[in-house]
Amino acid sequence: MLRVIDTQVIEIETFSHGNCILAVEDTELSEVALPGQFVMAAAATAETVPHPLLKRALAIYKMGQSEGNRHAVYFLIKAIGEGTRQLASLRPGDSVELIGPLGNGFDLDKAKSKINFLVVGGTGIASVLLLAEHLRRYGEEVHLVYGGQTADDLVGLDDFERLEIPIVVATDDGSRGFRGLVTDAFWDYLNGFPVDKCNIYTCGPNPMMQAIAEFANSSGIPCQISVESKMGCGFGVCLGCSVMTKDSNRLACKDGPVFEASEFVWETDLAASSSG
Amino acid sequence: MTSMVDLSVEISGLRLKNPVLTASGTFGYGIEFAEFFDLSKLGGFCTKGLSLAPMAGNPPGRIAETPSGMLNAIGLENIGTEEFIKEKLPRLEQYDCHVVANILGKTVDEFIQITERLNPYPKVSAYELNISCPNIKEGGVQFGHDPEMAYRVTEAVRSVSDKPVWVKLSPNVTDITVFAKACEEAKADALSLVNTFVGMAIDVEKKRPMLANMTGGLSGPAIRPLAVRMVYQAVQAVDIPVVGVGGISTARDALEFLIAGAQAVQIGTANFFDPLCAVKVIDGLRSHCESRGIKAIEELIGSLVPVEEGGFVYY
Repeated sequence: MLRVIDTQVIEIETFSHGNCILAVEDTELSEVALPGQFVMAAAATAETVPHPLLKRALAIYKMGQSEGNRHAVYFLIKAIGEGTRQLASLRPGDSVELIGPLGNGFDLDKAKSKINFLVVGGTGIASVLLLAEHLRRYGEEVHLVYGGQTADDLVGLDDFERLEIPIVVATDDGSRGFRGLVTDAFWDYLNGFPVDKCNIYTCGPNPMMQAIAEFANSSGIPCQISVESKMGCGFGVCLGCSVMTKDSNRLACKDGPVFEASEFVWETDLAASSSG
Repeated sequence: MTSMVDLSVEISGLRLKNPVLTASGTFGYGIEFAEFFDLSKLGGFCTKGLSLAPMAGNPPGRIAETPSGMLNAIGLENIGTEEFIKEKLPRLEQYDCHVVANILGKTVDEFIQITERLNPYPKVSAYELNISCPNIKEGGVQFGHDPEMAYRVTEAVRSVSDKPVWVKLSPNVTDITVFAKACEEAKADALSLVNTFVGMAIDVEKKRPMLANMTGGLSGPAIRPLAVRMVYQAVQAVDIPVVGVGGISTARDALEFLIAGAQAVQIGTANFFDPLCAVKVIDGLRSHCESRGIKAIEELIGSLVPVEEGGFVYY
């Protein structure tokens, strides 16, 4: 059941690069949310017309006990525009409006008896912690390959270290781990793993996911991507977040945000086919 | 305590339990919102625009947020009339609210075919002819920007329809009253206005339009004063009822339209950022009336005090 949730901020931890982790009081969200799902969120306002008008899509990062033993749902946010800036500047006790949980999460069955790689860039990390936790709980093998701009841009790394899974990091400036693109770090790391046992989940900037998806498709490795698209509503009625798959237009909010890499059509594919 | 305020209104022979509907293209096929609240609370809702065959809509890059509003160029993506009848309509039977089928054709004949296909279903209370979508080349606005064409399609649907026919007007015209009168002459039972205003937004870094369609329809609170003005003009020009649409997100907003003379209102873009908006507007209208001793909302409709009678507000 979808619902509109009015809740409060419990705590907010801010990092460099505009990153923060926001904890809000859990209502029933944690009982129903699945790995890969998201909410639409806005800082509550006393104004009759919110500004910005539309809520922002946020992956459900983590669920559990916060300081003071309160049930909390966590969101990892990078302040980019007005909406995310407002969310990132909330203080404990402030009100937040959420709609959720929304979307289809990751297909977890595909992970069974596989070597699972979570390949993420930047705030894409927000979509995969619940997934990693789930896979660990069911005894599946999980590896994290995580890229960011600099060492202090790798928010949430400690949450993954706690899961005691192999972690490879890449930074643009080499301040931690591999210097360069997370995709290059991934190709290096993948060497030696049996291709037929591999399974990939990826979330991050489109060019990164596209490179991972194309590699997976050509290698016959199952791969799921979690995409971002501008959303008006988040629950399938504005039809604004349409993305293209081989069969038809699909909605990132309702049919996704997780899609099979083999079905997805990227913007550059469209440009190539229309100019060719 | 049950409220003593009568919120009901009559429009095109239909009795609505309150004057609040939700606007086409912002409410799916209704079912999507049944997860949030009981649809029976609504006066009614307008379906996503239905074409004869399913439509895939425009390529991605369909929406852009603007100050107090949004641009959209969805391109009338919809499941088609047959799928609506088969999959959606039966699920709407359980709700005690009017279902207004927003319909659109590339030709007059397509409008007729959709009407005839939906005529046998009593759950559809009325038709709303979409002659005003700015985002497709064929159909839509080709009817809405030429009063002669608006007349023709309205008359054609009216002649085969078993139900009231509403016509949704485009605001992208110089004089809305010309179109309002053309539809009235063609025996439209009601008018709804406005649809979205054509707009454009540009990503200054990429130097590219924000929408793949280049332009799109502007909606949201930003357009409300424009819509109120056009509704007022239309109300003055015709005798058929007018349904006011455009940027409503509160009861106060809805009251502006009602006082301007709209018989009912539609909530649009606000459904996206607050799925409970329509219910809040209904509750707000009720408490507005209660606190002012207004027994029936109909007392407020068209209650605008003309300027010459001192109806001028100094602040």
